[in-house]
Amino acid sequence: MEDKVQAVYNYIVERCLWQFFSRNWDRERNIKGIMKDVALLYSGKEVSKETSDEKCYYADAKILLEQILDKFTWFEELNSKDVFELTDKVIDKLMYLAVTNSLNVERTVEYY
Amino acid sequence: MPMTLLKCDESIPERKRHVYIKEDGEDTTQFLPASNVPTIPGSLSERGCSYCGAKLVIGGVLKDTIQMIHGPVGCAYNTWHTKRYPSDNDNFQLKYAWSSDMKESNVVFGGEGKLRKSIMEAFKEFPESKRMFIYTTCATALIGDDLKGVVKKVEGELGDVDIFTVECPGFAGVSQSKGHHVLNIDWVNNKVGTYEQKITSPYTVNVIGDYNIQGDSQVLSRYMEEMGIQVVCHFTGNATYDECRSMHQAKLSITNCARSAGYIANELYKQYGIPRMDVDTWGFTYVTESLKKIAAFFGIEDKAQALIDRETEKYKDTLDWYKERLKGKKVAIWTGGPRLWHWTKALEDDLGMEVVAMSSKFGHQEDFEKVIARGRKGAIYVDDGNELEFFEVIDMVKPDLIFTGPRVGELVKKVHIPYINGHAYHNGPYMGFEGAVNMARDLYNAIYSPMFKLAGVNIKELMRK
Repeated sequence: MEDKVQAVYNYIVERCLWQFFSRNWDRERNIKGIMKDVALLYSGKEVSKETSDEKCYYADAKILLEQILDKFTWFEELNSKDVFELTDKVIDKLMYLAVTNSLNVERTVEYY
Repeated sequence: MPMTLLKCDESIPERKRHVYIKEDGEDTTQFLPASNVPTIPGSLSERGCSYCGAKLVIGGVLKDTIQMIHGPVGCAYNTWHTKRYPSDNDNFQLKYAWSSDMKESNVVFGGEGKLRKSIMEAFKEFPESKRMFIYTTCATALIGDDLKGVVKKVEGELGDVDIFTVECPGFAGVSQSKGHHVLNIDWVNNKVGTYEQKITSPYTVNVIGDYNIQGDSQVLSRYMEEMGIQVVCHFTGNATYDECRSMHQAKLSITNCARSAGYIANELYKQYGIPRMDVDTWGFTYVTESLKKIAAFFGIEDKAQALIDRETEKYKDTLDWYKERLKGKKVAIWTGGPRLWHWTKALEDDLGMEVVAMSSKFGHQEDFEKVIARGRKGAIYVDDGNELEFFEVIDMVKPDLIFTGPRVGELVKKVHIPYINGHAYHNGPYMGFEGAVNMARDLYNAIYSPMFKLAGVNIKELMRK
């Protein structure tokens, strides 16, 4: 599982931009919102698209999941429980990189 | 070898904090170049001033707006016609430059009277325009001219004009970046929400941080229109003043240049609840991905797919022809900031090239987080690079081509390396599917041109033989 987590994490870091938004709170919101939707979409569960924020997470998650399935053939062999476990671990790693341990001194400035 | 002191910087060791060479297994929690900090005295910076960041990059792009520069004439001239952002109204914004033409006596006795006269004259000479940006500059900021006071009186007198004041003199910040910031925040706080345009589609967007360089915005507009999406405002490519006042009417902010305009995207979210979706609009694969994301937000995936299929059919073979000839070629990207991370993977994935060095003039640490994540092992990252560093990096990585601006471009020409104008392009647009092919064509033409090798030949010696 660790190798799989690392592979998906590496792909997101290299490909996506939402984990590196301007401030900690934006980054955290994106990381958790989008990765949660990736797991829900894969599991065939309902994804909420009520609010504008939720629509945005859904859009990013949908395209990311398509890319992951295309790039990593092993992903389809995972069951829903595995995918939730994987996305939780990816969230932890992204939070470490972009929020809790980032050296970017601007990410905590109160105003934009 | 993480943070690195180049040999040419031995006399200014502080530069070590600004140069990073990526190694396997490293990430930006360990090493992140210092950036958006003052240039170190002794380092010959390539940066521009803060006023330039506001005027040349963002405000000056508007197609219907008089750009009044309150300062010496050089501040107007040097931010005029150096960047090619056309418009669909006969390039009003490119044809003229406006200045209050401050002289020594105005500095001594105050320039407000001259500013008022200049504003009135400009509106009289250009009756088709009722919109104006006024910029303070170093000279007029230092003497404390009250621009807003003058504007209030003029607006009262004329009645039918709307004027926006940009108070960001050249010395306000460490680089162009400060000008982006000031203009973004002042605009959203003072002008957004003051105009309502006619909404004709249930799908509405702001396209933020694209400046219609050689027609980029017009390419994106075509795509949006084809998908049934109304662009409320391009901030600011090919846009009008009033379109930018109505940004609050959009349902989504698509953000391309997050450095120059991420601030307004964030504020639109904070003040109006409009979500920000960051996209890459350069690069064949990226454009495909971005259109799919935008369509997924609105639930119109079929429209995006039809467009993607058609454009792929039209352009992919040509792109692949260039890829065959460009793969393995080494590129350096020495531009402002965001193009480093927008272009790195696009050049590598779409064209098989190797991006070996990147330098940013005004990027912040956020930009370096993005580009280091996307860049390859061994790539050299430089913040606020200086001339000697550029020469040393060239020796280290031996690029086949460099994307940079005309200033550094003239420098690299002297060592017979082709360059492509990374700010204003050679033959754009570079955005979208057709743009990706245009960029590939310019890369191919530059790398395979015999001109640069011939420039190094000593003709005198050849003649003697």
